[in-house]
Amino acid sequence: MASVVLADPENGGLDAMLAGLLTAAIEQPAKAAMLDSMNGTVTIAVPDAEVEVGLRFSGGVCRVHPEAIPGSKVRIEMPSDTLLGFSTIPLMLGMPSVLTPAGRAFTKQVLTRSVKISGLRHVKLITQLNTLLSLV
Amino acid sequence: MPVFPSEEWLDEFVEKINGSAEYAAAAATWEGDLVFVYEKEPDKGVDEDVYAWLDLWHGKCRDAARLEGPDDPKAKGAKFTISAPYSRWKSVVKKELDPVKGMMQGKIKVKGDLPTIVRYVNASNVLVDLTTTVDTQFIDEV
Repeated sequence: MASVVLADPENGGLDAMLAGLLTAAIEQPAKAAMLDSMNGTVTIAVPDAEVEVGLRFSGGVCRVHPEAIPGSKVRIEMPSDTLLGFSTIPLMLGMPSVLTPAGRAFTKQVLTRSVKISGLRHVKLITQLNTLLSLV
Repeated sequence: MPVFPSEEWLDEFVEKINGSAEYAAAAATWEGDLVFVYEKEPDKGVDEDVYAWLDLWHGKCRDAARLEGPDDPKAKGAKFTISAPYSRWKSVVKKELDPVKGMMQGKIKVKGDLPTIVRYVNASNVLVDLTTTVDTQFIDEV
C-alpha cells in the first residue's frame, strides 16, 4: 500500500511540504497505484531558498529526505515561487501543458534555464512525479 | 502606532485585509480560519506564545481574536496554523524574510491541508504583504 514517510519529521521545511502534498495525492486510488509502481530517486533543489530535498521511491513508499540524494536519477532545480506554483500548472501527458499560459511560462523557464532538469531519460519517473504533485 | 504582536496590531491588520481589493480577488473562494502563532522569546519581551486567530471567508476577514493559548477551541479547530518565533515574524513584517522561502527552510512551520495552501499561494502572499503595510512598532523596540 502506497505511503509517504518523512525521513526527518522534525525538519518541517520543504520536505514536510512535499510530503504533505504527496500524502494528500495518494488518497486518490489512481495516484496511490502510481506511487506503488514508482522506482528511483529525485532531488529537488530550490537555489533561492538554499533548500534541497530528496525523494526515494521504492516498494510503494516515498521517503522524503531533507537533503539531496547523491546520484539521484533525476535532479530538478527551480525558484521557490515556481515550485510552489508548479502543482497548479495543467499537465498534458504528465508534463506542463504548453496549451495553457502557465504551462508556456514554465516551458520558457526551462528554455531560459531558470528551471533545470537533469535525468530526462527517466521521463517516466518525471511524469509520474508531476502527476502526483498536480492539483489540477 | 500599534505594537506587534498586540490586539491593536491585529485590529489594524484586519482593517488592511478588509480594505484590500487584491486580497479580495486572490482569496475570493477561500473558506477557513487560520491561527498565527508568534512563539515566545522572553529576551525580546514576548514572554508567552501569542495566538492570533483570523476567520477568513471569501476574501474578507469576518472576525479575529487574540486567543488564550493552544487549548482555545478556535486554536484547536483552526484549518491552518502558521508558527514561528517572534523574531522570524518580525523579519517577515519588515520584509527581511520571504515567507515562502521561510516555510521551505523550516523557519516558518505550517500545519494544515498543504494542497489548499498551494492552491491559494497568491492569497497567502497578499495576506503576508498586508502585514508589511501596518504601521508597526515592535515590542522589543518600544
